[in-house]
Amino acid sequence: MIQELISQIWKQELRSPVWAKNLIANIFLGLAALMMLSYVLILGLASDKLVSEFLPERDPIEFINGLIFYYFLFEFFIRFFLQNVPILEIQPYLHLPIKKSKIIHFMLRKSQLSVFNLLAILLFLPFSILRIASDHGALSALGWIGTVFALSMSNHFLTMYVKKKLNDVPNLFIGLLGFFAAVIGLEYFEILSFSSLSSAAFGFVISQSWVVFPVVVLALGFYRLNFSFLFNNTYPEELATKKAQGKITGDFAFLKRFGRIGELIGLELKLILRHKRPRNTLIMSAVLLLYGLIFYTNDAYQEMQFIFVFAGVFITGIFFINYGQFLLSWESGYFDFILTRKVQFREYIEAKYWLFFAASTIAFVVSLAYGYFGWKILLINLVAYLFNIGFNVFAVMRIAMYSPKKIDLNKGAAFNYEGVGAAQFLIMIPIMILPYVLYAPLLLLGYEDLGLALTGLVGLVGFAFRNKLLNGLTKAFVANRYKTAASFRAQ
Amino acid sequence: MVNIPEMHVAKGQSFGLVGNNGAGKTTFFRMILDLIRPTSGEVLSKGIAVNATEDWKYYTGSFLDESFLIDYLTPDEYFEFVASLHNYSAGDLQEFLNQFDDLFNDEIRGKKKYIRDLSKGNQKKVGIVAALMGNPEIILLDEPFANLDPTTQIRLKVILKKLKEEKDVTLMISSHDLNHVTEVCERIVLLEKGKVQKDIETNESTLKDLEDYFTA
Repeated sequence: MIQELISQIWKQELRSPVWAKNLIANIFLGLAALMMLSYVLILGLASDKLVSEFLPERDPIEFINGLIFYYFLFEFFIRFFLQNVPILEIQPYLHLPIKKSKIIHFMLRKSQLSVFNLLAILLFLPFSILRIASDHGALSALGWIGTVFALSMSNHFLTMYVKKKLNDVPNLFIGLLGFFAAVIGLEYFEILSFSSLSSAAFGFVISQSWVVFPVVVLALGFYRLNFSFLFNNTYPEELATKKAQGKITGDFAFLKRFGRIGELIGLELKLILRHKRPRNTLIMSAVLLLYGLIFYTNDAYQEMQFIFVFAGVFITGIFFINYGQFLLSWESGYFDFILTRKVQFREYIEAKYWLFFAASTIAFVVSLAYGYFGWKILLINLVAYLFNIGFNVFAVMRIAMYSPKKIDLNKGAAFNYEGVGAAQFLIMIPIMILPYVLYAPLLLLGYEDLGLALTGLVGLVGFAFRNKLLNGLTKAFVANRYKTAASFRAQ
Repeated sequence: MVNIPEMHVAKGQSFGLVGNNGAGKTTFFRMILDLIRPTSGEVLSKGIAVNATEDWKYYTGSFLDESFLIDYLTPDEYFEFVASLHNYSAGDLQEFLNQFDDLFNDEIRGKKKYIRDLSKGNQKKVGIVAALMGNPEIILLDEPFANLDPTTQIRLKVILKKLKEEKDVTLMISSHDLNHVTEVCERIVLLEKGKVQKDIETNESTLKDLEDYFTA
């Protein structure tokens, strides 16, 4: 029975269309995860050395013990936002003659096979062997690492429970941030030192190894809590995160004045604002406006101002880079509608262009504030902006049309790599290299201003001939439409 | 998969497509709507190949499945959007939608609910009504009666018949419900494994013939 379930989980993974279609993205992600884990392991191996090196007056055990509390706070935080607990997966089994408790136990145990559960082990096991075992003996080390691991497991099940219970609470993120700020504030102003509390508690664990048993019981308790909650709430309606009802945002009536193109832009704005993932790209774009602060304030970059062109392209173009790379995928759910309705394909493409144009223009206007760092930066940003609206937009849109993948908008945003394909890797080329094609050689020859002027001119020419370029994009769209529609229709 | 050497549908004809799952009904409709490119051959609408121009969109209304709906809009927003494509004024839209008040049964309009949160039946109502917008000359509906409650099925039949009589619309529907399809359509085409098995004018014995065919 359990074997059958395991093989089904396996099949689910291997046969999921996202996996098959995005093999490259998956391999890339797997490597990234492996790299992160090895960094954690290296940090764990070096922790003893690092403390003695940088804080020779502190006792390493005392110091690390003091950090454990903050480690778990951090772990809770990342678990809360990144760890996915697929409780809905038990749904297809509920009506079959299998004991409900068996399914839930299976699901809970399966959830333990998570990368996040490796973190504590990788980080603290080397320290317990290298330092605690040699100072206090193997038994103390065993009790200590056992306690840490049991706490990590408690954290695992606690997060799962809290997430199920609290996901609907509005402004949860801000609340949690406030909580963390309060903890850090108390520590910082020496009102209540959590690190010395933590240090004392884990020092006690080292001297009294039996403490590990009550902590294991705590972990089992949290497991039990989840179990009984799930056992009593297996109704799909209760398991699924409730949707906020009765709140319909945005009308964009003013856009209607711009005719059909305005209507299409309004539709796209609704798409962006009503779904988590596109909304996140919008928020990211706003945050990345601050990107310039890293470049312009750093003295090291003053020596190599050529990098400012890159910053300018990024600041004024981040929205269409981020959002536009999935150009058609966002609308994969109703692509047949677009193909059969009275929308001219040309208008459809043009609406997207003007949306990206508007976003870039807004970003450029905001970036004028960087004039504070000198008129040169303004000039470079202007050139980058012109190059973006006259060249990069078209390049990104064209590349995005190359075999787009389906995106399910109703899925969450974290760790969602739906829609990522070869095109998303290709997109970095125009952004990184093309602005430098004219600029870099002229800069090296000592005609920097000429290089900037020519790069801006290319953008202006592209903008002036936008109708020709849009026609070209429409042609590409029309040529690919059957293939695109078929890949969006595939489940 | 679909292999139809030649077929004509006359203007104003009501055309019914029947056949078991996998017969190629939806594929056939998708080819008519230029959503799938035929391996060979072509679909002509008013004598012009559908993949050559976009003109057919101006007189063809269609609803095949949920991918024709924009599910993050409310029904009202969706109707407004489609209406704007047909250059309807707000008054035109009101007038148009008022005809369907019975069909909507107070569950569609003025509700603060996205289309994705509606039941399958109500989603279908939204899609069908949107397909009728803009005085289309050709209407394609894939299994319009499935998922609808009995009352709505009967109302929909009345609406389709009225469209045919008053506006001389060419109607193309597919259905698994032999009763409904023989009642609404003058011509029935039976597909099996992509081939036309029967192409008949509807008369009193048609329903019986079809039932016999599917029983065998």
